Formats: sequence, C-alpha cells, structure tokens
Amino acid sequence: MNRIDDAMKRYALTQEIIENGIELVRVSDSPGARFDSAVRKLVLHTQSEPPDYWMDLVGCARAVRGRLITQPQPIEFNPSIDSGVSDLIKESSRLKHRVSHESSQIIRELAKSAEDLLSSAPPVSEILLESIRELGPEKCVIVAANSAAVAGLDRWLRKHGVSVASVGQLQRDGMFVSQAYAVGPPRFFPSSLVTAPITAALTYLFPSWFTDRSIPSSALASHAEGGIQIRPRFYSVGDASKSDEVITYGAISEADLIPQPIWSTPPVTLKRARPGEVAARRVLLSGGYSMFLDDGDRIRAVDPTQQPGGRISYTHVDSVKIDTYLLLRDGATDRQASYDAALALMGARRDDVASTQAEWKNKLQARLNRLGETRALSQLAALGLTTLDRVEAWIDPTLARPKSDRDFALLLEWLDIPLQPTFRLATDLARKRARASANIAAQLEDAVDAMDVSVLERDGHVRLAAKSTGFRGALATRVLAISPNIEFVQRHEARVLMQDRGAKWLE
Amino acid sequence: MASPAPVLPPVRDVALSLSVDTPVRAVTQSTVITENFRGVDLDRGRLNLGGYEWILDKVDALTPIPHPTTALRQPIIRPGVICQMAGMSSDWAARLCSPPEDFALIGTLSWLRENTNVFLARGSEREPISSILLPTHPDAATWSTRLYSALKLDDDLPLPESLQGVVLDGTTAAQYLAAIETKVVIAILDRSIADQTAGENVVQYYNSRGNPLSLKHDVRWTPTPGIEALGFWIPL
Repeated sequence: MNRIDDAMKRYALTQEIIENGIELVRVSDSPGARFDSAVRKLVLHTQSEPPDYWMDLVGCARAVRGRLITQPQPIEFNPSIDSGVSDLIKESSRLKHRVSHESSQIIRELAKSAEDLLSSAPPVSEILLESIRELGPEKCVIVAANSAAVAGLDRWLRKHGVSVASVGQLQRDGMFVSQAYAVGPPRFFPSSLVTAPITAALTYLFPSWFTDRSIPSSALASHAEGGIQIRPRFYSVGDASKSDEVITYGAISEADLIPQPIWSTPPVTLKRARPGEVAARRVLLSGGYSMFLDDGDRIRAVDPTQQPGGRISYTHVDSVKIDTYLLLRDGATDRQASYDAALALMGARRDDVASTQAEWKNKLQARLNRLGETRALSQLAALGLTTLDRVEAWIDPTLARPKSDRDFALLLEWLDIPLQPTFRLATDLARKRARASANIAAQLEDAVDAMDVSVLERDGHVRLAAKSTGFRGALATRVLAISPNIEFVQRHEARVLMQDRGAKWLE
Repeated sequence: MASPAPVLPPVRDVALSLSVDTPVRAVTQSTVITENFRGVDLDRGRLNLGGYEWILDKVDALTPIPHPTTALRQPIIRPGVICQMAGMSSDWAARLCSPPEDFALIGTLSWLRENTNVFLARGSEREPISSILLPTHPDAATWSTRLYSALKLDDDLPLPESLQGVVLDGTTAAQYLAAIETKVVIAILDRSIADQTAGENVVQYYNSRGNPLSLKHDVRWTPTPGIEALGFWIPL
C-alpha cells in the first residue's frame, strides 16, 4: 500500500468515526469503588498535611488506582497491582501508629480495601474478554494507555490471540482490524486515538468509579472549519444496584487522583539568578533520571512515530511536554562535548589555544569582579562594543569567542591582551567547534535511525550505543513530568542527566 | 501557477542589452542553461554563453538572473497534462526561463524532495509535481520553489522578500509560523502524532493576533471531511 492509499484510508476511517461516534463502556466494580473512595478520603485528608510525610503513601495509592484503570487484568497476570498493593500495605503500617486517630482510620480503610483488590479479577477484565470473544480476536486490537500497560495486558491477552498496542505503535504501524478496545477512559489516551483513528470503531472500557468522561479533541477543533466533534455513546455494564455511586468528598477532582510526580526540591520563593546561574525547571525522565531544562537553545527531541531520517527534531524549550522524547548525551552536554572534540581537532596547537582562551576569560572575569558589572559594561559600551548582553556567556569556557570580529578585537584590547595569537586561535577553535558539533549531530542521527523504536515506546527509554570516539553514547528518554517550579542552577548543570527517584510512582 | 507568464523581450534584443559576464538563463528546444553571458555575434547568428556558442535562432528565451550562478545545463522540462490544463504551455519557454521565485516549502528536506516527485494524474495522463513547482536543486538550471529544511531554518531566516507563499509542513516547521511574513502561509499539521503542541501554538497565535477568515466564503475552499482547517489573517 502506498502512502497516498494509506492517507485516503485514514480519512475514510475518520469519516466513519465521525458518523458512528465512539462507545464508552462503564463497568461496575465494587472492590475498585471502595478503594477509590478510600484514596479520595486520603487525598482530601492529606491536602492540609505536611506533604513529605504522606508523599509515599499518597503516591503509591494514586499509582495503584491508576493501574486498576489501565491494567485491569486478572491478578495472576498483574504483578504491578500485586507489588503496588504490597508497597501500599507496607507504607500504611509504617505510618498508622505515628498519626492521629482519624488519620489512622483512613489508612486502615485504605489498606483493607487495597488488600481486597487482590481477591478477585477486576470486572473490566471479564467484559473485555467477552467482547474479544464475541467479535473474534483477529478482528480487534487492544489499546493500552502506557508502555507498562502494553506489557501487562499483553502478558494476559497473548494466549487469547489478540494484539495489544500503544497508541504510538498503532499510529506508526497501522492496524487492519475494524474494532479497537481502549483500556481506560479517553482522558488516559492522546486525542489522536479519536481524531486520527486507526479503526472504524472504537470502544473505551473503564470502571464506573472513574468520573471524568470527557472526550479530547484536537487543538484546532473548537476554532476550525470542519472541526471534528465525536459523539459518545455511554453504556453501563454490571450490577447497578450495589453500584459504586461515586462518593465525592469536597473538591477532589481527577487531577488530584491520577499518579503524580514527586519533586525532590521543595518549592522555593522566587529569587534572582546569581552570576553563572540560569533559571530552569526540573524534568523527570523515564529510566530513573531527571535534568534541569533551562530556557535556552532548542533541544533535541525524538519522534518514534516517524521513519528513519526524520526522527530527530530540534524543539523549542517551551514545546517540551509530558511524553516528548528527548535525546540527551551521557555525561557532558552537547556544548561541552563539541568543545572537547574541537580542542582535540586543534592537534598540536591544543595547549596554545587552551592557555590563550583561559587567559582572556580569566582576565574578563577578574575585570568584571573588580569593576562591577555596571561599570565594566559602560566602559565596554564606550569602546563601541555592540553585543554586550552576551558578556556573561563569553566567560563560559566552552564558548570559543564573541561572534562579532570587531567586538572580540575591542574586548582583547580592553583586556590588554595582544590581538594575536589569541584572536586567530579562538577563531580557529570556533570553526573546529562548528565541525565537531555537525559530527556529533550526524552520529546521533545515525544512532537514532538504527534504534528499535518499539523498545523506546515499551520501556520509555533507550540507550544509544557509542560508535566512534568522542561520542560517549546518548539516551532517548520520555518526559514523565515537568516541575511547575523554577529553580536556579549553575549553567553547566543544566541539561545534564542525573539519577532521580521522583518518578517512582509514575512509571 | 495562476500567475501570468513573464513577458520577455525577443532574445536578440536581450542579448544586445547585456554586458559581458552577466549571469543569464537561456532556454532552447532541448536544454535549460545558466551561464555567464560572453557576447553575441549577429552576423553569424551565434550567442556565446560561458565560452560555448549557441545558434541564436534556436534560443527561445534569454534573461539576466540576479544572482551569480554556477554553469548548469539541464534537459528541458516539458509541460504535462496539468500545466496544459492550466494554460501554461503556450508561454512555456518564458516560464522556464524566468519563473517566479515566490514560493517555498519548509519541512523535512528529503521528504519534500520525494513528495515533489509524485505524479498528478488526469485521465490516463500524468505529470510530476516537480514540473509545476520547479523545486530548487543543486543541479537545477531553473527553479521556482525554494525548499528549506525546518531543522536548519534558524540559519535561513529572514526569508527572501520575493516570497509570496510558504508551506510549513509538520510540527517543527509550524513552530516558525510567527516568524514568516509572506502574504500566504499554510501550516500543515498531523493529527495522528501524540504531541498537540504545534496545534496549540497555532491557536494561541490566532487568539493573540489573528482576525477571523472564512475559508469557505473568503477563500472559497471547503475542507475535505476529516480535515480541520483554521483560517485567519494577521496585520503586518
């Protein structure tokens, strides 16, 4: 099938979904509802408590609740519920003797309701199996909300002969079946599942205690001509009498209940950056990492849905969102790596360039310290330098030289440094740096083209092997969360991979 | 495509008006040439381009080009079924010799090249899109449409003022919407990718600076079912 046929087919499917709408099947689930109610109580109760104290219990409770929705398979196929519940019980017994009577009652109920989850298969699993059998496993596909759910559901459903995939996999590989069953409510899936459908019929299955039933649309839909509005058809399955009427406690919304990251640094009051610091947000990454993302150069992202040759893009920092895949080098940042490689390319003049660079940068720093920034800048302005807003960056050891020839010459004169050989060496270094950074980019592109994207989607991260010297390998990794807080970090600390446990209850 | 063909003076007159070493483009029955003009010999009826002589009467169109050029020869592109339908074939030599350089495609370069090689068909006849758009290429002696890599667009901004229309193909290209100031900009977004940022940015731009424009009434285009289209205009 060629690309044009493929595109025509996609538009035909979109048309069918617009005409037929989608099904939302809410499945009655008493043990789940009891647990959900306990989680709601806990979240409401701890909203006014010191967060550190309750962090792990609340994080764990939200994670188990999330897994009940995305991985409703029978317990023998469900190690993630099993381990989540035992973490939760451990954490409950750690806390329950140290808290008030009211708190300990809430914890006890949470632990009890969690334990009960292990005694029977979640009702959604039965409805899902029935639906698959009724239609025939070869005629449908099961869509899972995240990579852990793909693995979990696949372990259970493989023997029933039905395929399980993430939305990303389906969008990339296509799927020639008529019906998709999405395990979880629409909120748990990207809008592309309804706005760029892969099947003519789509059904979401989720426990009825999940309250948010809104259907996502594309970003343009509400303003656009031809904006796609999908009609939902609601079905309730199961015993409604002993049903799980959702008990709402105060202002608890789904946003408070879905799994959330833990930010290891407590929010600080806003302050100004000190010299050498940049404002950055902490970004939690798949694989147990985080990094500080500053609002600077664009950053490399990977799009696993694209074909080789088009997978790497340079994304503006404010376009980095949850589920963006970033491409980060190990150890050194790009800036540092291309500087090191450029130094190596200088060959025999390596020591000369290192010493002349150190000389002018140190002198500049010393002048700035001695005169103060304001006086130093006004002197430079009087000499006729035009790119003074960059002075801070000029001190950065990895920056070869100011871009403007004239400004660089004037700066050296002001620092009482003879123009040559400093000017020539720095210019050569800048040239070599451009070459080195092109080499690094080409190597990363080759590595990403050779990467198994299905592993990236399954695990959330893939380590790219080093192929040549000067390239220490890189990590393609999914953004799991972005901190709402701005922190100030040293410039050289930004965009460097660090170990971080903040995503423990997210993956 | 809808623009009228350029009106070029007779080849003889152009040749007489040129000073030596002016970069020129010439179109014969079989070839498109870019070269430096070296002279014209009216007695012998010869045109000298970069040291090679051409029979003056067999040169269908000649024009100076503004930018210095490398010497290139390219087999002539013939008007296909779509160009004929659009009435472009009658002034074909002039169109090939002096095409408007007013259109650009911005996206993933290898895909743009691949896509311009796709054929448009009408009945049993077909024509490659490239013979209508005349995309830039290192070996192309004549071109009308510039192709830019979205990844490296920062280095190419601002775009030439001669551009009237730009297509931003895909998420990376669409990030530049606010930086493009041509009369017409078309951003193409793919709904099937999970990241909706590109669409959100477009809507934000529309909300902050845009004025409503109906595609159906003002542009007379009704989007095909399945396509969501948002039209707006921005004061420059």
